[in-house]
Parts: sequence; structure tokens; C-alpha cells
Amino acid sequence: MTIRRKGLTVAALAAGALVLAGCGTAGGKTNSSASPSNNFADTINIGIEQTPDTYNSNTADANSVYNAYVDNLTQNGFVKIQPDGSIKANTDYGTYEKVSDNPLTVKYTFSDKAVWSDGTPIDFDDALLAWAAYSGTHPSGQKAEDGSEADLFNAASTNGWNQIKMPEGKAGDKSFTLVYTKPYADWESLLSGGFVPAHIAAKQAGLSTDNNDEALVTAIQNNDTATLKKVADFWNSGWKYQANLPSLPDVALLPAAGPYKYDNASNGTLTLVKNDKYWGTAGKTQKIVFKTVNADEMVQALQNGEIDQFDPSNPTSDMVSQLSALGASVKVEKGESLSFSHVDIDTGKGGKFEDQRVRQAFAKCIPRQDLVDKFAKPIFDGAQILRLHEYLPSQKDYETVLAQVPSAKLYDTVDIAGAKQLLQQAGVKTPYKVTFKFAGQSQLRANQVALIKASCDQAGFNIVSAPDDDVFTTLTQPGKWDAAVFGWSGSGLIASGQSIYVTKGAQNYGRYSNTKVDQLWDQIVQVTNPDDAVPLKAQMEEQLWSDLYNITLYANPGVTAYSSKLTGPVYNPTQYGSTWNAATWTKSL
Amino acid sequence: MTVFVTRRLIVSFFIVLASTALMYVLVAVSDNPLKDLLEYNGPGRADRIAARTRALHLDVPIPGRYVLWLQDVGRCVVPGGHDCTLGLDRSSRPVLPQLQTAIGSTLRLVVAATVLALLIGIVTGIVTALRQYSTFDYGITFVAFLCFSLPVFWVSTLLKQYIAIDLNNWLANPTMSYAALFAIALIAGVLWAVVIGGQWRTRWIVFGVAALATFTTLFVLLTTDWFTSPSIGVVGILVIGVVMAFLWAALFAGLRPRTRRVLWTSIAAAVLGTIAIVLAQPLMDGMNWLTFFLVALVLIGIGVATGLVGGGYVKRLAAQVGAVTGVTMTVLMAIDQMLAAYPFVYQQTGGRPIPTTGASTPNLDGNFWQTNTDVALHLVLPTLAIMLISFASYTRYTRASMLDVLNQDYVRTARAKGLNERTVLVRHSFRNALIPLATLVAFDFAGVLGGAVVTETVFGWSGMGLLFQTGLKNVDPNPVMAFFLVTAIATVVFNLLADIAYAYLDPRIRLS
Amino acid sequence: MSTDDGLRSESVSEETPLPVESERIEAQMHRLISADTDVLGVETASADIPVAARSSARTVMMRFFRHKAAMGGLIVLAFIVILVFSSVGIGPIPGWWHQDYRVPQPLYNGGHPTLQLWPFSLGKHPFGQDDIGRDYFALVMTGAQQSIIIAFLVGFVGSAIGTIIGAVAGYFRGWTESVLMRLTDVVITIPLVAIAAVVAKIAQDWGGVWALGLFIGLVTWTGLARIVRGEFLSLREKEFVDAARSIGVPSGRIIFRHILPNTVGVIIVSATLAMSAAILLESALSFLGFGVQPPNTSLGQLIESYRAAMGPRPWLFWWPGLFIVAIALAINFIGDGLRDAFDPRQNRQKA
Repeated sequence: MTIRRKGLTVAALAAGALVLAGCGTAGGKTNSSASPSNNFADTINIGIEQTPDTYNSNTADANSVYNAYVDNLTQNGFVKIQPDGSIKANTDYGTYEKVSDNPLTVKYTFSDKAVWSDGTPIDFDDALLAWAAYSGTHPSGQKAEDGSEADLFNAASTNGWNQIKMPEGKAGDKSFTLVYTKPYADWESLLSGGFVPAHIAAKQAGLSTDNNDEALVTAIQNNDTATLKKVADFWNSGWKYQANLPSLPDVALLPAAGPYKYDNASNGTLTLVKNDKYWGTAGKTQKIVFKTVNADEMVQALQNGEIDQFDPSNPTSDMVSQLSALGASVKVEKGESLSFSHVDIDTGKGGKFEDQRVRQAFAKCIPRQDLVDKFAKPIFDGAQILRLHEYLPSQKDYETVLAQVPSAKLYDTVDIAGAKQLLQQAGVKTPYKVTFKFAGQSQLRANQVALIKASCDQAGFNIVSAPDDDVFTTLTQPGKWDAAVFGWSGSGLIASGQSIYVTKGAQNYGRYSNTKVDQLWDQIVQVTNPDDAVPLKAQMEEQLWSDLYNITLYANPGVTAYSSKLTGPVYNPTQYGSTWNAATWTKSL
Repeated sequence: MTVFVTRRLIVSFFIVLASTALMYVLVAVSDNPLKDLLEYNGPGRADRIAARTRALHLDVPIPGRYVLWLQDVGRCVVPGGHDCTLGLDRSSRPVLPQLQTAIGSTLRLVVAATVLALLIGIVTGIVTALRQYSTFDYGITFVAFLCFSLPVFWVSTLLKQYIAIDLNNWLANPTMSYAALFAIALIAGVLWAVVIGGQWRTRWIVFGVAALATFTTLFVLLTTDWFTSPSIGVVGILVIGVVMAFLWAALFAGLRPRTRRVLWTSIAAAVLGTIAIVLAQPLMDGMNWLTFFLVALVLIGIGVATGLVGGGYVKRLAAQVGAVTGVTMTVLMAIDQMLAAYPFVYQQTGGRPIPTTGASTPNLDGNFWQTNTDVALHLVLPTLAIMLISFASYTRYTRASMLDVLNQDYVRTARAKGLNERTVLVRHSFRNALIPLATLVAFDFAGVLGGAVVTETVFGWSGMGLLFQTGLKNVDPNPVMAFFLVTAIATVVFNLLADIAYAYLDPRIRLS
Repeated sequence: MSTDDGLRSESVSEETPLPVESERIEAQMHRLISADTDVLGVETASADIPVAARSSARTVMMRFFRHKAAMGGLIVLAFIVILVFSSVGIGPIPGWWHQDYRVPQPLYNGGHPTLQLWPFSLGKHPFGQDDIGRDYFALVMTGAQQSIIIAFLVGFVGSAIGTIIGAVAGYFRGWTESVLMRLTDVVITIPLVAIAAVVAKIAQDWGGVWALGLFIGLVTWTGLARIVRGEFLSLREKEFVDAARSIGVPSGRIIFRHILPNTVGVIIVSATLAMSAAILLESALSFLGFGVQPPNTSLGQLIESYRAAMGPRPWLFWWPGLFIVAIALAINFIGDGLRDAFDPRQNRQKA
């Protein structure tokens, strides 16, 4: 029987060989690739780490940062924020002028040609709906436990808009005027976006859309809560995508106002196509596809040509070296982002850093340059020590302000002897124990604390490295931490930093309090000309540094990586991300 | 039987209820659901925190939230109940549609991998059992243990690098140095020699033949540019079909004169099938799943019919083998068509046909074969990753169970009464060895669903694993519970099915 | 607590609603998955061993030591454990390798590994350095140490709980058994990766590998509990247990002194295999972001952190991976050898 079995296997082998040999009858089929009319590819694939989660990214439960990546191409606003944070008027969309400073009054006019991609003009109803949604003036009647009352519209932010009176006008007007009840520093960037198609919301709420949505305009003007509730319900949830984007809602509900419009989605991949109704500069590539790829898998996907570009949300030096190892096929643009790393310290009463000399000693032993060299430079070699809080090196006013803040340069180099001396003067018992918190799961922060510990322990501190999975809750509990390293993301706005620095501000975790700083902020939030804020902020910076509010480390380095077939990507540190100019990108074949 | 099933279902209901409570509480306390918002310092921080608090009912204590979730599930169970959503996620989106799409995509991944792993696992398991203590047996044992010891995501990264990126680079310009050709031929020769074994003389012959065949085949394929526009063509289908028909007949019926008729009808089925495939060519461009199944049905029908007509006194057996041949012809047709579709996919993917991430190429816009080729190529890497693990356990289990059976008295009896080895192995041993395996697969399947979490993450597959993982990361219990509801019910149901199947297959067991 | 229902353990009965066939299969898998005696070992190991009802520790040891693959695994594991614990020391006890895994140093030789096999020399940084210049040998050793601790903890905690629950359920039967086995069913319905991820995420707040090991151990006892219960169900009907009971030996003593020693084989084998599974589980959890958190380290966490380094600095990716594979493989072979030593079935004569 063994012979028989062997015979079988030999037969199988022979058959296998035959099968393989049989494969060779290939007829040389020619690749009938449809040659495109020009030398550019018709699709660009952009890698994103998380699917966009809604068409209306202005709702409070819109959680994906990548909504902005899509909105850059499909939505529009009166201004465009540039990579250096400056504001540029977008005359394609419309024009605006400041009519008066007191009260702050701005007149906006939509372009005559401006239409949604379904052909409906962009006009007064869209502006009025924006006001209705963001002004927070439509109480829903439902009280939360803390007594606050939710608004009908679940808006992500009411900042600025809640200081604006209801714009006057009638359905079909191409212009509208915003009157502020009190001056608002960031008025200009307020209208960089935020308009959604009012005619869709009206129709879905069962209103007539005749006469440029007269019904909706009247309902808002008359504060008709019953009608507005239906509109708000759709505004809040009707535009949401399914989780992980298996498909898009009916694209008729998703008109675009930018160079691209929504086409389809499947398996977390969103396809945009050129908006044929767009009146401004048209997009250069036929299709832009957003592919969702796990952050760690991006480089291999780029290498394999599945994506053409991506912005890593947490670039590491290994990622950068892996990208550069790919050679000429991949280009990497680097720069300093708008978010920055800093060491916060508990300066409040009873805090370990209540004494200014201890703070100074701490600042002197933190190896800032070393941290920059180890953690920022491997990614962006132009990285430098961050010496200001409210301005970052990528912003245009950084150098101007820095020149007016002499105290900002006092802690550039490590001075162990000086730190020891200061601790001695403060009369604290050494080794001085400091519980140093950082986000658990962050190898980067853990490494940084290790480096700080190596240096500061020599000066008489005893740094206890304390990873914390919920570090931001801990920070609000004085006594549970002494120092913490984490990042803030700068928004490029003038007024948004207030709550970090003023007495009892929500994110003033170190319990810092200085009346001069408080007063300066009161003035800053009310300037109506951005340039007026610069000298005020310079004064505030000087105060922060002489008091040693905290120790800033560096602006986090940022990266955008793309296939060298692609032309056009520029590193953009703002929250709008790299696709801010994706309409101008081209990809060679 | 009915009593048994009812009883089991009632107990299972309470078990699932208890485990959902456990899971819900664990997820809810695992972290602070507001973490990402606390970190955020842009405008509207408070509004966003308020919205999240409302969406997740954070003002309600955890047991209360569990009851709310139970109510949401209840709406799906109560007949005529509407608003079946399985709850809302933290962005207030219903979970049910998310679950539906996720299940579809995960099943596609898991079923493909399980079926392949099962096929390969059973075959190697049986061969290793038959050739116990051979080099091949030791080799496979070692490989299986190695597979048990591999971290999935570590291997996945390697697969991406070497199977996707490097292979794609090679496919762009498929050439091979003679040294590489020789090396591959030598390795193939050694492998075959080890697999087939036997006397040293046999081994040398096998080695020589296999090395030569590999070398020639590769050489011909390379010189004819087969790798850029692959196909098997009608001749290929005919040749492979006839060879396979021969093998099936040899395996299932044997080549004894008594069943010689089966061999002829089977080969006839292959030839007729090839003719049918040629005739069906006009259908190929506009094919969809319906026409595909119709064609498959016709091919199988041809096999059965030839068996019945020409089978004579073994017509039942001939029809069965004919059906298998029909299936083989269908597979060959599909392979032929998909190979023909390959250049299109190659061009659509910018010359990089094997992807590292995702489930399909967006906007491919191809016909039935082209889209399916694309989907199949997307399945290559994740399937390999899942297979490595499943294959290891299936091959070990098959081997063990086969050895168990081969030591049974009835096998010895069968041999003693002079049955030939093929009959002993195929009819007496193999079938009985598969009984425990069938139940193992059922038992294992729910576990595989859970295990896909890692694989899906690595390969950017938006299925149940992603639902679970993002849900847990966001401390968003409802999507996690949806994932869990499916796996828990699958566990319970498959356990029940395993018991019933066992009682059905093994008459010694009675369900009371 | 009637004594006449002992046979039910072998057949599907209404006493055991969920875990009937599944349980049997599990037990069988446990026995069979690496199958017959002496795979990779000697062929006639048991030929000269009398088929005793209960193998004495000595014969088991002899069988185990003849198992070549298991011995190979044992040697590799012993080597790794000694290397890992002696090099960077255990807790406060220093080891022979004097680099701290936490301290960044200037890059030497571009961070490349300095390990040389022939002539053998470790050099300054045998496994190279990571992105901030930490000695990667020290990191991998520390990580491996932590992973091994997790593995042992999981193996120990899981086996202890599983044994106790299985023993108590199997011995006392009645409502005790129902409650315990239904509890087992509850935990078993949750996929291991899922429940491990959830408890690991909770363990992160407690810090350290000890919490992680303990927590994972708390959810990985179910398989063993069922197996031990099965063993107890049949053993409790044996004469020696009746004898002990009739002379008034207390239940606790019967369980631990009379029955348990007879099930030690399955328990040891299961604990061993649980350890190799735990190493892999830990790495999967690290990958999903639910594992050990910095500044602690583990092999899984190292691979995850340096996965992007596979191109430019492959040693950061390969070393921890190879250690995981080596440890898991060694433990698997040891488990295989132990199983064969305890349960010498399926000695198939060569046909």
C-alpha cells in the first residue's frame, strides 16, 4: 500500500508540474490603457487618519479634524487663512468692508455669481441661518443638570457670533451687515467659513423654498421656535455621515460652494469631483479622493502608491527618516506647526512652584535646547526654542514681539549652578520632589521627562515621572501634580488664549494670577484692528516671562509628505491642513 | 431536541445579558470620555463638552446608562418596534447601520481567510498524519508552532513590505536573474522531495523533475511576459481541467477497472465544460453574480449529467465526481477571467496592484471581473495574516484527529479485510476525522471574529474591529456593545450549532 | 449532591447547558492541538515506560527530558531569562550591563548595532540606539523582562483562578457548580481580545506591568476552569475519593490533597500555553494602544513604537520582534513536551 501511496504522490507531482507548464500559453495581450488627453493624472489620493464625520462640521459633535480637509475644497468663506496665519480676503466668494468701529459694523456682499453646486444662489438666507445657528439665541427649553439651557442649534462655537445682532435684510439679498454689540478682536476670521445651504435645511424641515427661502427667513426673523426646531434638528444631525463612512447621504443634500463637490463614498474613502458650477478658479485635477489609513500605515501606503499625500498628525523622527529613505520618489515639506510644547507648573498657593525662585531654578535646569535638538530638530532642522506664548515662529509677528520681550531669553541655556543657588535661596529642602505629569501612552513625553529629570535632578530637584492617562482632568485638581508637559494648539486667533492666562481661566491650570495680565487681556479681546493687539500682547508676554508663568519648549514640528509626482503641496501649520490649496495640485503620470 | 434547544436558548439569554452588563460597565469606567475635548483649547470648548455629555448621557450614573442601552436594544427585539438603532454613538449617530456595514466587511475578510486556512490546514494536516515523523511532518510542526508564536501586527508589517511593496516593484518590471531562477528551482526541488519523501532514489528523481519543471515554467512565463498580462487561455483551461478531473477520479473513485467509467465521465465533463466556457465567452463582459451562478450551475449540471449518462452501474459516484469537476471548471473559468482583468486593475492602480490598505480601489469603474480582481488583490495581505494563525491550529488539529482515527480498531479492521489504502483513508478515516474538526470550526468562528480586531486595524479595513477599537478608544460604549452583541450571540449560537452538529454526525451522542 | 451522576460528564446532559460539546472540544483541543507523543522527539519514548495509571513525577520528567524540541525550548528560554534578568538586573539589584534604558546618550556609530558574532563582541551598544540615543540593548532587555513578568503573572493568576473555580465547581456540583460555570460562560462569551483590551485600558490607570498582568490574568482563566472541572467530575467518583470521604476527610483536604495532584498535568500544560499566549496578547494590546504605557516598556510596546523605523533603522523593529517570537516559540515547545510527558497517548506504530 505504501507503493500505491507513493504512486499517487508522484502522479500529483507530475500533475502539478503539468499545471504549471500549462500556464505558459500566454498570448501577449497589449495594455489598452486609455491615454488621457494631457499629461496629468485625473485622481489625487490624500491619506487621512480618520474619516470625516459630517457635512456640517460646525456642530458641536463633529469630532473629526479631517472635516476641515474636505471643507477646504467644498466650502467657502469671505476670507482664507494663509499658512503664516495671516488673513486674505477671498474675492471669489464675496467682498466685505468694515463700516464702523463703534459699534463694530461690517458689511458683507456675496459674489453675484456665487451659487451652490445645485444651482441655488448663495445669498441672504444662508447668512441668516448661520447667524441663527451660531448666535446661541434660540433656547431649546431643555435644561441641563447644571441649570444651563441648551440651544436649538448644537453649534460647535458661539464665540463672536453671540455678540452679533440679527442681520437685517430680506430673502434674496446678496449682501448683509453684521453689527457687534461689543468689539470682537477676531471678527475678520469669523467668516472664513460656516455657511451651509439654507435651502436644503429649509426643504428638509418641510418649509417652502420659494422666493429664495422666504419662509425660512421669516421664521428666523419672527423667532418662530416651532419651525426653527425642525430646521435645527436637520442642521444638527441631518448632514451626519455614517461612522467610518461606508457611504454618503444623498448627494443632493450636500451641495458644495467650492471648486470640488461630493461624489461618493465607500469603505471610508471619500471622492470629490470638480464642481462644474464653480464660478471661481476651477480645480486642476478631476477627482480628489480621501482615503482613511491608520497613522502607522501611512508611509507604507505612500510608498506603495495608494496615497499621494498625507500630513502625519504626530510626526516622529523615525517617520521622517523612513520617508527620506524612500529617496526621490517622495518629497517631505517640514515646518513648525501652530501647536507647541510647554512645561506648566503649579504656581498657586501651596503649589510646589509658589516661590518664584523655585520657578526660576526649574526654568534654569530644563534643557530646552537639548529638547529641541532631540525631539524637534530630527523632524524639522530649523526648529528653535519657543520664547513666546501667544506667537509662534511660523507666524509673521513672532520676531517683532520677541524684540520687545527681553525676559523671554533668560532661560535659553542650562545653568545647574544657578539653579542650585536659587533653590538654596528659596530655602527649600532638597532633593525637592516634583510630580511631573504627562499623557500616558506618549513615548515622546515620557522621553522628554526622562531628559528633564536627568538635568534637574543634578540641580536639587527630584523629578518623579508620572504618566497619567487622564492628564487634563488631573491638571484641574491642584495638589495632584506639580509640573506637566503637554501641548496647546494655537488657533492663530487673537482672543482665544485668554482662558489660559487670566486669573481663574478654565485652562489656567497652574493657578497663575496677575492683575496686569488680566487687564491686558480685557483690552486685547476688544481690539478691532489686529495690529493693535501686538503691543498689548508684547507687554503681556514680558509679564508672563518675568513671573515665569510656565516654560515654553518649542513649536511642534510638522510635516507634509507627498509623492514626487505631485506638484503643489505646501506645508500649512494652521488647522485647515495641507488641502487648503489642493485645488491647485496636479499629479503627473 | 426542541426541549434541549429551548432550554439552552433561555440560559444563553441570561448569560448574554450578564456579560453585556459586565462589558458595558467595564467600557464605561475604562477612561474619561471627555479626554480629547479637555485637551482642546480652541473656541467652543464648553459647547463641545456639553454636547458630548448630552450624547453619552454622562450625567446619568453608569447603571442607568446600561438600562438606557438595554432599552435601545429592546426596541430592536420587540416585534413591530421602531427606532431600532442599538443606541447612538458619541456623535449622536445610530449604531445599527454602522454595525450592518461593519459585519459585511468583516465577514468578507474572515470567511475568505477561514475557508483558505481550512483547506490548506486539512490537506497538510492529513499529509503530516500519514507521514508521521517524516521531515515534512517535523517541518510543518515547526511552522505551525512558529505561526502560533508570531505577533500578528509584526508579521503584517513584514507582509506589507515584502509581499506588497517589493512584489509590486518587481511586477512593474518582472525580470529575474539566472542565479535567482536556479535558486528558486533548487528550493522547489528540495521542497517537493521533502513533501513526497520515500527512498533516496525516489527523492533524487523527484528533486530533479521538480527543479527542472519549476525552472522551465518560470523561464517560459518570464520570457513570454506572462506576469504583465497573465492568462491561462482555453488550452490552459482544457489541460488543467482534464488533469484535475483525472485527480478527482483517482481520489474519490480510484483507478480500478470497476470504477474506470468514473474517470472517463469525469474527463468528459472537463472537456464539455471547456466547450461550455468557450460558448459562454460573450456573457463574460456583462456578467454579474446572478449570471455567474447560472453559468456555474450549468457547468456543474454538465458534470452531473455526464456522470449519470455515462456512469453505468457507478452512476451515482460518477455524478458526484462530475459535480466536483464542474466546480473545478467554474473556478478555472473565474481564474482565467480574473487574470484577463489584471492588466486593467494594474493600470487603474497606477502600476501597484497589491495594496497595503483598504478594501477596494475607489472609483474603479470596471466590470464584474475587474472589480472582483481588485477586491481579491485587496484581500491578499489581510487574508494571509489571518490564515497564518488559523492554518496553524487547523493543521495541528486535523493531524491529531486523523492520527486518533487511524489508531482506531475499525480502521485496522478495514485494512485487515483487504480494503485498499485509498478506501481506508478517504472513506473510513478522513470522514470521521473531520467530525471533530467541523465542530471546532463552529466553535472557533466567533473567536476569529474577535481576533480580526488587530488585522483590520493594520490593513485599514473598516469592519467590526474598527468599530470596537475606535469605540473603546473614545470610551463610546454603544459601538463597542454592538460589536460585543454580535460576537456574544455568535459564540452562543455557534456553540449550540456545534453541539447539534456533533450529535448529528456522531450517533453515539444524544441531546437530552 | 448525589453521586450517581458522575457519568454525565462524558455525555451531553441537561446539567451543563452551554458548555457541552464546546467544552469537550476545548478539552480535546487542549490535548490534541499539538497532538501525539514525541513530535520532534524520540519515537519510542514510552516503549520502556510501563503504562501506569498515574505517572509518577519521575517518569514524567524522564519523558519530558527525552523530548528534544521541548528541551531545545527549555534551553532557549532559560538562556533568554538568564540574559534578560542578569543583564539589566532585577528591581534594585544591578546587572552586568551598566547602561540605563532611560538615559539618552549621544549617538554612537549612527545608532547602529555594534554586536559582532565572530569574533564575539558586544561593543558599546550591541542592539544599537533608539531615536534619542538610548541604549537599545538595555531597552529590549527591560522590555523582555516586563513581558516575561506579564506572561508569568497571567499564567499564574489565570491558572490559580481557573483551577480553584474548576475544582470547586467540579467537586461540590449542585448550585455552586451552576453559579461558577455560568460565571465562566459569561466571561467566555466575550472575545478574549475585547475583554483584555478593556481591562488593560483600566489597568493603565493603575500603572505598571504588575497591574496589567494581574488584570489580564483575571479574564483568562475560563478555559482552564472548564478543563479542571471536567477532570474533577470524573475523579470525584473514584474509589480513593470515596475512601477519603468515608473516613471523614474534610472537603478542602480532599480537593487539594487528593484530587488536585491528579490534575496537575493539565494545569501545568495549560499554564505554560497561557504564558505564550499572554506574551502575544500583550503585544497585540500594545499595538491597539491598550498595553503597557511609557515610561514602562515591553516588547510589544517597543515594536509598536518603532514600527515606523523598519525602513531606516530596522534593528529597532527586529530585535523586540525576534525576542517575542523566540520566547513564545520556546514556551510553546515546552508546553508541547509537557503535554506529551503527562499524557502519552497516540503512540502510533509505524505502519
